[in-house]
Amino acid sequence: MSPSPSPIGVGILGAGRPNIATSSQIPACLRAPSVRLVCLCDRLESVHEIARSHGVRSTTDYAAMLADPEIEMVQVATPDWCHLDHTRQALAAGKHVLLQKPVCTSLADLHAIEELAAAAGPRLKILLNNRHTVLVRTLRSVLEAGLIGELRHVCIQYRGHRYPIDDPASPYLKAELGGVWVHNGLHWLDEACFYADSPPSTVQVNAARHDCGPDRLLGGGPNYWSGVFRLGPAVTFHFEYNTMLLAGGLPGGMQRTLIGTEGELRVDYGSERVRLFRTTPLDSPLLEAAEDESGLPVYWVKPVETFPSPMDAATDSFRRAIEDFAAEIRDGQERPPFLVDSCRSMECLLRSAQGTPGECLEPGVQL
Amino acid sequence: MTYGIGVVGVWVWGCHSLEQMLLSACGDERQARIVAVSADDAYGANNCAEPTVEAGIKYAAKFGARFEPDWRAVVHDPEVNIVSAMVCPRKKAEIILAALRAGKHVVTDKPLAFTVAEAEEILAAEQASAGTGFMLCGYHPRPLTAHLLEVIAAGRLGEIKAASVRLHFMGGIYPGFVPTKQWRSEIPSGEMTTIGSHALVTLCRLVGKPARSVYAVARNCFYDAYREAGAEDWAELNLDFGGAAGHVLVARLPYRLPREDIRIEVTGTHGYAEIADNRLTIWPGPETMDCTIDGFAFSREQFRQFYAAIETGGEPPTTFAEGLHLQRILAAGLESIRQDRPQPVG
Repeated sequence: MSPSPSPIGVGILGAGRPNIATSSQIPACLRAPSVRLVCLCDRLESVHEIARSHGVRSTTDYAAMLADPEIEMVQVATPDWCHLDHTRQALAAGKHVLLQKPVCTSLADLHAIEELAAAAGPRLKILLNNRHTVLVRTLRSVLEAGLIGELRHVCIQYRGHRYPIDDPASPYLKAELGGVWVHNGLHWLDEACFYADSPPSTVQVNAARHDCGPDRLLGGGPNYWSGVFRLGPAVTFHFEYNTMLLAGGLPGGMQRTLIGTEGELRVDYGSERVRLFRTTPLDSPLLEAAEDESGLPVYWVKPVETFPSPMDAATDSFRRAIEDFAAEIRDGQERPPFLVDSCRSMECLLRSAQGTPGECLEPGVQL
Repeated sequence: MTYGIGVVGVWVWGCHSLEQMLLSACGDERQARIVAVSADDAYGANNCAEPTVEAGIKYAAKFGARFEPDWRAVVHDPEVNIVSAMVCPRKKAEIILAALRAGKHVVTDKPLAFTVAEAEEILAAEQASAGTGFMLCGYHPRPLTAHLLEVIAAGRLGEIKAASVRLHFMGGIYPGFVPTKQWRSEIPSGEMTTIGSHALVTLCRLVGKPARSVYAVARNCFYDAYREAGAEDWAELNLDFGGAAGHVLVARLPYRLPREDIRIEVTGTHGYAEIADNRLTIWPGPETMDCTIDGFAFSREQFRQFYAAIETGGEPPTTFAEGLHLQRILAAGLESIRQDRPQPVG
């Protein structure tokens, strides 16, 4: 038996204050056998305290971290408009880069990042953990088992609070940055692509704006988007992102619907339980009968895995994404989501947010 | 009052027997009888088990009515007050126009016509006529949707900014129905027209203003028979209402979803509402209302409203003006499918 390869040294940039890096990426690295967290970096001095609490090194000098020979993988978790510069520096230093979503905030930056990736020896990957969550893996397991036949349509709907960006200083409140559509949309577009096994080939988006509320929280752009995507020739995707609501007891969150030729999967708003509706009854170890009063073949889908807490489950989804990238670095074999597909998805979000309203777009044509 | 009903078209695919609903909606205050019936292969592909004319003769006999081989005799019969135009969309315009110009009231199924130009002509004829037109279409008269519309009209949700309607006909192709190229040639499109009309009319009511543009995707997802007939079994429409967004998803699903008559979400500036699992829920709240549909009672009520519209000059449950707007959306949707880009409505 060959010995396990030594863990890949990781440095995380942008871990100086509570954010996705501190809440998810650090714990995920600490639980991932294939990586070893070496250093945290941020311009904020508070990074030292955070690093101490995890027993790793720290620095406020990005160049110093990039010069550290123990570090092979740099995870970039800085503000999105800094991604291009920080990625360029890391790749130039010969580091592999795992970049937080969204890839960037402009088409020009996206183009530049793709060119960097094409030219670089080191690898670049977008950190998209949603496809590694228990819920998404559970839905995917049903698809792979053929329990709804061939997938035809994916619908992911978000409904939530009217002020999703709670920092009045956030550039995402500027209309040209595309709001949460650009900030968060890549997660769910990638999720749909994961189900369809295809990147988006077209997108058409209508948007609306609910004006009630203080400008400093509403921002300048829309707060509702309805996007129709084609994911290859066989699957369409409706992505509705509704942030026009105030909570008031409304169950928020996501609703997911996957329609196939033999059945449908549904996860209702605010729920993590998956229901399956079928044309005909079915015995499968993945399912348990829902005993619906209608007498129709309705099932609950068993989760593929259980965790002690939602936080553990979320951390595990990051761990899986990080370990996938570590494996890529080890064997040179790219694993989904492929960089080119992540960039096509990002292009769809950027162009639909920043281009002509309502236009139907083909990603990759004008980039 | 006693109404004479003239029936043009017997068992044409996609057409309900609206004349029977006209009869059932009568009560002590009004009576109705079928005066004359016309049936012919030229009225559209049908599900008559026997030759069309023979089926029409039997149908007329069942109601003690006269059979007329030519629809014109029905439309111009002085005893006929209401013409039930139950023919394929391609044939509708000439019959409805003739009926309106003869001063008759007209009831027909959706869509109103085959083309926008025909629908425009029909609306103009209705406005110039003493007759009232009723296009049976939409889920807006159903109890939960009707209550939601009352909530919207009362301003409880504020200005409507987004609405979506998911509507499916479920359980596969109707027993006995074989989609044919003839059937497809007689309708503007497949399920975008047949199911989509219901969803679109409902959506427009919810948003409360006409659609400005539409992007449509139509596909064959489930049935070879639909594909071979050139008819889609699935359609999705993304609509812009100028300050509000709308989305419609319609399909003929091979499976059934329990308690899912229609699925609606509406977001306004002051609140949000949804219809799911035969339950209407309104926020702020939640305020809920449950209802299981009695399809017969619901249809009968619509026809009572049609009679009332005739007698009082009010509006029927769905007007020909709505039929024209629907026709414009469908035409824009078809053009959008051809060009794969959004198209202006009208």
